[in-house]
Order: sequence, then C-alpha cells, then structure tokens
Amino acid sequence: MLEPMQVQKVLEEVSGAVMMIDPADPYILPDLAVKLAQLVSALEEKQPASARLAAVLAGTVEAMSAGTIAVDEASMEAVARGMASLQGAYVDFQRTQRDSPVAAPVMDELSALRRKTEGSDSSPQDDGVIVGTPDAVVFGKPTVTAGDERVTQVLIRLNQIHDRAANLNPDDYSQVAQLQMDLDNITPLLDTSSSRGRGLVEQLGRILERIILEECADAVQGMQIVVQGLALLEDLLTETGAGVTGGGDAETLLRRIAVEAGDPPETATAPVAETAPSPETAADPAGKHIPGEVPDSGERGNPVAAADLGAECSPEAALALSIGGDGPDTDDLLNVDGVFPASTGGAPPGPAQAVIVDADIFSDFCSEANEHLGLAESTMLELESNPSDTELLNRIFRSFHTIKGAAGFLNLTDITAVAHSIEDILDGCRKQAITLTAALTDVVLESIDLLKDLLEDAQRQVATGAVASRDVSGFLARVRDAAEGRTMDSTEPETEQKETPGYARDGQSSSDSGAGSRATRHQSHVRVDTGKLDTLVNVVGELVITQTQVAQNPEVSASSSQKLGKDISQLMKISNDLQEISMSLRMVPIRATFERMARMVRDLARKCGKEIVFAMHGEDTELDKNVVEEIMDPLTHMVRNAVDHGIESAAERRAAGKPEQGKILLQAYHRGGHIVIELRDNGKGIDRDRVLQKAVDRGLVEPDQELTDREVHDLIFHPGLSTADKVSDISGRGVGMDVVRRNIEKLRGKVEVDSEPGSGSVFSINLPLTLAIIDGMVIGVGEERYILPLTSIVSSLRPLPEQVSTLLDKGEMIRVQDELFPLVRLHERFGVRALQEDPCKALVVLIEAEGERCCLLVDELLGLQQVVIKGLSEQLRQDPCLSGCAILGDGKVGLILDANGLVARTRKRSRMSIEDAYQRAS
Amino acid sequence: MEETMTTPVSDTAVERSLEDLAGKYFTFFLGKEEYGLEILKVREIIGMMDVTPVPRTPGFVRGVINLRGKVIPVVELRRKFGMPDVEQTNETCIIVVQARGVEMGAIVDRVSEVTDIAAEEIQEAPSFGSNVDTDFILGIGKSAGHVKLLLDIDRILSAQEVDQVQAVAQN
Repeated sequence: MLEPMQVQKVLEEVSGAVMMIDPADPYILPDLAVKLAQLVSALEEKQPASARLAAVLAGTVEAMSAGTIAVDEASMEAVARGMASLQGAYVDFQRTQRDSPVAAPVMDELSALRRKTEGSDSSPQDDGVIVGTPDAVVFGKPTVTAGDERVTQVLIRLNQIHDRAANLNPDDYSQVAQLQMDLDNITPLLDTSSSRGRGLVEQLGRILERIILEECADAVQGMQIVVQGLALLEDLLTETGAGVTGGGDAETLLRRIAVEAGDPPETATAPVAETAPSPETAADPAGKHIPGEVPDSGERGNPVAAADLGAECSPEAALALSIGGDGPDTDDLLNVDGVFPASTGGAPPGPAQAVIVDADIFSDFCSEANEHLGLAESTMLELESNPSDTELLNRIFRSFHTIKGAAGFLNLTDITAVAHSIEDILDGCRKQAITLTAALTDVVLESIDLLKDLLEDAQRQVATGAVASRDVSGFLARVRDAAEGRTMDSTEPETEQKETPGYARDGQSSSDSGAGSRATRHQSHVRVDTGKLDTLVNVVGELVITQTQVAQNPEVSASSSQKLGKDISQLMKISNDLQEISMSLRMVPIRATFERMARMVRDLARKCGKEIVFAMHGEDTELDKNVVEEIMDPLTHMVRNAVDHGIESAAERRAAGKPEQGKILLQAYHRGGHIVIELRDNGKGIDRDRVLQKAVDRGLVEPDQELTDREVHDLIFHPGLSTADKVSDISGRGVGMDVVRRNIEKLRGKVEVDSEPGSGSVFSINLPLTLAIIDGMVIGVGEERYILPLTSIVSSLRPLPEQVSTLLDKGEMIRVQDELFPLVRLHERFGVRALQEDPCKALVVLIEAEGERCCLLVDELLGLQQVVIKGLSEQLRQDPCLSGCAILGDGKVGLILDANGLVARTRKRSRMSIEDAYQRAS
Repeated sequence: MEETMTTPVSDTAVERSLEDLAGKYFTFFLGKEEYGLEILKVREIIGMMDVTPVPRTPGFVRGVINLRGKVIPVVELRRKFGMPDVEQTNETCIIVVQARGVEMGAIVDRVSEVTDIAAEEIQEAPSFGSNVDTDFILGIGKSAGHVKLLLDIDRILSAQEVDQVQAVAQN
C-alpha cells in the first residue's frame, strides 16, 4: 500500500508525465497505468470518489496503451485534466479530510473518449469503473464565496502563526507576547459569519495571556494546547470556506477549545452571540481578556466538563484539564495514552491516532531535552569560570525548568523529580540563598548525565518496551544535602560515585546528543532526516549531470542563439550553486564535540587533583556530520592523555618553574581544503630519549639509527610500541595511540605530533571536509570506467619493455626507480575486455595503501573528477577491490576502486607465488 | 544444499491462499511466456539504459544503473529463470520493483498490460519435480484464455540471496 507521502509523489509524477506523453515511447503509458492502478487502491478507502476517477483514468491510459483509444491531443488533454482534478481533490482531502466529489465535466470527457471507441472493443479493465457521479460538483478549491479571499488570507497568516507557535520557546515571554499580538491581528479579518472562529481566537489569546502571566502550571503544556487550538481553528476556517454550516463536528471542536481556554463548556457552546465582537473590541487588544471573565477554577471545578472529556477519550481534552491546574485529580488524566502503559492509571485508552501523535510529541521532547541538557552543560562550565553572571544562571535554570515541565506533561516522574531538585538548587543560587560551590556544580553536572541516561531509558522503553529501573532516590537525597549546605567532601569524588546506586557515569553514553546545541540559540534550525538530505544530494547531482548533457548536446552547441548560450551558462551557475549548498547541508559545527571535551577535562582534572585551564577556538568550524561523530573517540583519547600524562601535577610544575595551572587548548581551523584540529598542552612534552630507547628495545629501530625528532614522535603511533604493556611510562603518551591513528586514517585524515620537552606537545589532526566526496581519477579499461581515489595514486607511467619482468611465469612486476612492484591487470581482475594488454603500450598506475604499493594496468586516464560516494548494496559488495560507486559525468555509474583491497590482494598473491617457487625448487 | 535453499524462504514469506492473490497485476513477456507482478510491488517502468557490470556477482545480476541519482542493482530475469539470452530490442525494458524493501530493476523482453485477475482464475503452480524451481511462482492466472505466471518478487530476491551465500561460501 502506498504511504500518504508516496500518494502525493505518485500524483505529481503522473501529472508531470501526462504533460509530455510521447506516443513513440513504449514505456510511458504502461508506467502511467501501473501508477494509476496503485493510486486506485491507495485512495479507495478514504476517497472513494477520487478512486473512481483514478480508475477511469487508469482504464483510459490502459486503453491508450493498447491502442483502443488514440493517443492524440484530445485524449492526452482529457487525462491531464483528470489528473489535475485528482490532485486538487487530494490536496483538499489533506486539508479537510473529506473526499471531494469529482467534477462531472472531467468524468464526462473521459467517458466520451471511451464512448468514441466503444464500438471497437471494451477492454477488461472497464470492469468496476463507474462513470459519472450523481453528487453535486465541487472541484479543486472550495466553492468560491464572497468571503473566500479573506479566508485564504487568514489561513495563510494562521498557518504562519501555527508554525511559529509550534517552534517557539514558551519560556521566552517576548515570543509568546508577539504570538498573542499576531493572533489579535487576525480577529478583524474574520467576518461576523465566522464568529465561532473569533471566539476561538480569543480563547487561544487568553491561554497565551495566562502563559505570560505564569498562571499556567506549565508553559510548555500551555503552548501545546495553543498549537492544537490553532490547528482546530484552521480546520474550522477551512470548513467555513467550503461552505459548511455549523455541523455537530464543529461544535465539539469548539467546546473542547473552550475548556482548554479555561471556560466552562456552557459558555463555550453558545459563544456566538456573547462574543460576537464589535470592531472596537477586536481592535483593542486589551479588551479581549477581561480578567474576571476567566473563572480560574473553571476547568477543575466543573465536573460536567471532566465527565464530558472522559467520555470523549480524547488526549487533547485530557491535557486540557491540566492547564492552570496542578491538583492531584488532574494527574491521572495527564498520563499519555500508550506511551507509558505501565504508569497509566485510570486514564481511558485513547484512539489509535492519538498514540501516534503522542509518540511524536515524545520524540520531540527527547531531542529537545537533550538539546537543553547540552546547553545547560556548557553554560554550567561557563558559569563556573564566571560565577557572578546571573544571566548564565538564569539560562541554566530555564533549561531545567523546561525539561521539568515537559517531563511532567509526559509523566516521566524520575526526570521531573531530578530536574525539579536541581531547579530548587539553581533557584536558591538565583536568590543568593545558596552559593554555587564546586561541589554543587558537580552535582548539577552529574544530574545532567543522570537525566541523559534517564532519557535514554525512556526512549528505549518506548521503542522496545524494556523497562529500565534506575534508582534516583540516592541522587535526590544527595541533592538535598548539597542544597542544605551539608556538602560532601569534594576531595573524595570516588565516594560520591558510590552513593548513587545503579548510576554509572559513562562519558560515551549519549554521544549524539546536543549536537549544535549552542547554535540553536542564535539561529533557527530545522531538523531534517538525513535520508532526505541524501536524496536531495542525489537529485541535485542528477540535475547537474542533466544540465551538462543539455549544454553539450550538439544541437545546442550548434545553435547560434546568444540567448540560449547565456541561459545555459546561467543555469550552470545556478545548478553548481545548488550542488554546493546541498553538499554543505551535512556540515555541522564541531562545537558540541569541543564542549564535551571541556567537560571531560574538568572532570578528569578534578579527579587527578590538577589545575587545568581548558580553552577552545574555532568551535564553529564546520565538518561533515559523520566526521564530527567519528572524531569523538580519538579526540577523547588524546584529550584524556593530555590531562592524565601531559600536564604535570602542581608540585612538579612548581618544581619545573612553571605556573601551577596547566593549559590545554583545543582548536579547529581550515587549512588548504582540509580541517585541522589541534590539541596543545603546556605539559612536560614527549621524552625523546625514552621513546627511542623503548623502540630500540623492541627492535623497531636500530640502535645506531639516526632519527629526526619527527620520526621519533611518530613512533608513539606505532602499534608495536604503544600497545606494549608499560607504555604509559613513556612520558605518558601512547596508550592506544595506534588506535587513534587508525581511526583518523579511516576518516581519510592524518595525525601528527610535535613536542618540545618541558614545554608541551601539539597534536594536529588533518581531516577532509567531508566523507561524501572524493577527488577521483577516472580510468578506462576497455569499455568500462573506474574511479581511483586520488590520494592512493603515486604516479603513472608507460613502462619500457626492460622495466617489465615476470616471476616464474606467474606474477608480473614493474620496476620503478629500482624497486619492483607487482602488476595487477585490472581487465583480468574484473573480467572485462581491455583495449591494450601489453603494459608497454597501455598505462601503468602506481598506487599505494597502508604503506604497500602495486601497479595497475589500465587503458587510459580520463581525468580528474570530484565524485559523490555512494554505497553498493550488500549483495553487490562482494569484491574487496571495490569500495563503492559514483555517478560519472555522463550519468553512468562508475565503480570506485579500493586501493587497500588491491594492494592486499597482490600481497597475498605474490607471497603465494614465492611459496610456489620454493615448492617447485625443492 | 536443498535445505539451505528452502529454509530462508519459508520463514520469511507467509503462505497466501489463492483468494488473497486476486487483484491487479502488471504483466510482461519473457519470450512467449507472460508473467505477472503484483501491482504494488512495481515502482516504475523505464527504457533500457547503460548498465555498469559489477565484478563477482552472480550471472543473473547484470550490474547497476543510475536511477535519478540512486544506484540500484539490475537483474536479468531471463538468466534468473535459466532462459537463453536474446538480442536487446527497443521493447526491452527495465521494471523497477520494490523487493524486500530494496529497489531493484528487472530486465524483461517487453511489457504487456495491467490486468485484474479474479480468485477463480488463479490456480496453484503445478509441480514439475525437483529440477524446475517453482518457489517464486505465486500461482498461475488464466484470464481471457492466456496463462500468466504470477511471480513473487520477494522470493526471487531471497533465492538470489541464498545464491550469494553459496557463492561466498565456495570462495
């Protein structure tokens, strides 16, 4: 069955295709018929009238394909019109959820087409097709009435408001106030006939007012109700626009909103006359919420309302009760159906639809909460170095407050409790009743970790139903102690840990949270599914290719029209821009990663009793999202090393005549198309002699070998050295440094180290901007083309006959500058026919991977191209010499060669040949 | 070997009664035989295009194509069914299907029609003994005097996956 998203897409595709049916193209009509038939089954259930039309269309197209209806202008136009009305009906349906009857003329036209050819044969597809509809005709847009234009205008504005309301931060009162004002401005646009709409607008305004006045128990909750109210309002208006006179449906909607605004339902059902506003009141924003008009106890004190809502089983209604009221009676109703079945007390089960909505709300909550936690964490660290800044304190407070509110709404009691306890501490600090000590900061930071874990638990619970029980009471008790000043001994962090049963701090546990947390503060962001991004990149890539093909079309280049040439070059510019932008969408600032490092340095330094100042620069440098995620582990490792072993203890530093405070600087910057991440410390540096000694001991270096500093420093990345048991003795560096290097090389990056004994070390990681694009050399072998990553190419040559030699008639070798390299004949390897099999007439490319080299025999080098890497599906990725594929300039798929695989293969083979040789010799 | 061929198929696909099979089918020809695919599995029909061969794949995998920026595998149904190769004509085309959540193309000789097949027109595939593999045939439709072999595209792919496993195991 087609998904709703697909229905829309198929509709568009078919409409597009209908516009340009080429009678000579044998595929297009069957293709259309298939898609139309799919539409019929997709629409059948909810839009029977549209499904009928789709069926007629499918029949027509089928008949056109079979030749029983001529493929001419008349038939194509009829189908195109049919498609247009189908699309119109679908758009209407999306808005109103009602099936619009299909316009009779369209049906008539189509059936006329068939009648014309009736005599010849009626195809079997005619079965089940009912032509013509008895219903009155409404087609495309809602019936045009006098006020229609105005309704559209209101709808547009309303839509904007709705969007903003869904995205704004309820704690930011200026935003809420702005929203309220915008809502006010709509009122005059609503004519008197839609007084229901007016009443609704007023009620929503009142909710906003209460949010601003902090009358609502919870702002987040309030906002959600407003957002729902806005959606209802949109529905209401659309119905009015379509000429529907107040049905029972509209009445229920209105009553629900009334309850949400805090009115007893009696007044709500008859709001029309009472609130029918004169223009004066509408224009005056202050006039619309007379304080006395809102009975505060309305929602809780009215049993009728509650019973009413219970009968409706509507989650909206349930949450409506919660606004302004936080009494125990509302708590049960606050449970969100389906999400947390275990905690749902007496709440009636909601309709299936509601569960989906709630799951959405829940996932929104999780990502938002994670963002807030990330923000709180970085702000907390900022606050620590700048304790007098009350704005920072307020910011953290707001984050916790928001989390608490939303968690309360979702009935996540543990999260609410923890957030609440921290909120208390922070509130104390704001009122200056409590001083923010380092120990308190610890507690707050710890709570952030705990909340992250709790969030993860909750997510897991929703996803898999697995109930994780984490005991937060120990933590809560500690928070209370801390708040009351009974601070625990801050020099014993280990005991702190033990006091929290079931809670282990794990730095990696939420590795993807809070990405770009700070950025959200400055700019507005849209969360986009990466799948969609990939599709966008694909499609844009395709656009560029098609564009090039058009530009290179001989007919176009033969044309003497200057206008055409200009237009094409303009098109080229635009599509290149578009490609650039689409590629950059995957880029995210590295800030979140850096902030995590800041936190880690702080924790580690406290643990080892060192004083370390952490600074970062260039945290807004953008990298591919994958790179940012992958760099986390190696960077963590390096930073840990720097704190643990790089920076000396205060005593040592004093003895060395250095300031007691150590410094670690983490910075990122661009350099020549690459990103450099640099980690500097002013610790003791690498002890050259000891590293060298170890290397000699392990036989990695000859005792009398002269090595430059750089070569010695590089030794710490050597697996033979760094994985040895006592490495941490070597000036502290080297634990798993080989792993660090391997991880970075996996990202097609490089890591280097520079060190000055006594004054510190600098580690620099050189990374490509993105993993999605490589510079490739396109090579030709026979008819096929392959892409060889430029980074793996050493050189290319056409060998002289004396450079080619064979080994025992088996392996071939090429001598390049007195070194012999095995030759791989790509055509043999891939089973394709080559143009040239003699290496002296063809070309040889010398490649290198993992320190090994080999030669590839190819027919020609076709030039450099930047290509977007695409994966091959599992069943096609059988050959280790292939790493993926890419679309070439002409739209064909080219396979990307994997130098590692090629080199590894020759290594294996030549070793075998040598063994063979031995065997033969003996 | 027989067992490995059948187990992965039987636990993934649910047996369907003939009544369930009634519905719309998209039909095409391989030689003189007409085959049908469930309409909802068919994504689109495109003309023949350049196919890039991929080394080390079974013979019936023709290679990959660029479908508007997406790279999808293309199988040669003739080879899959053990039929001889034929010259490509301008009627040869690729049917893009969705099999087990994966988009892939199937090369066929020519497309035929979209047709409704009623339950009473469908019968089970007769058994031809062990050397004719009828696993991926859902049933046989006999509408309007023509015989149409109704294919289970999911099973065609799963049989292919088994082949893959075997190919790897043999290496």
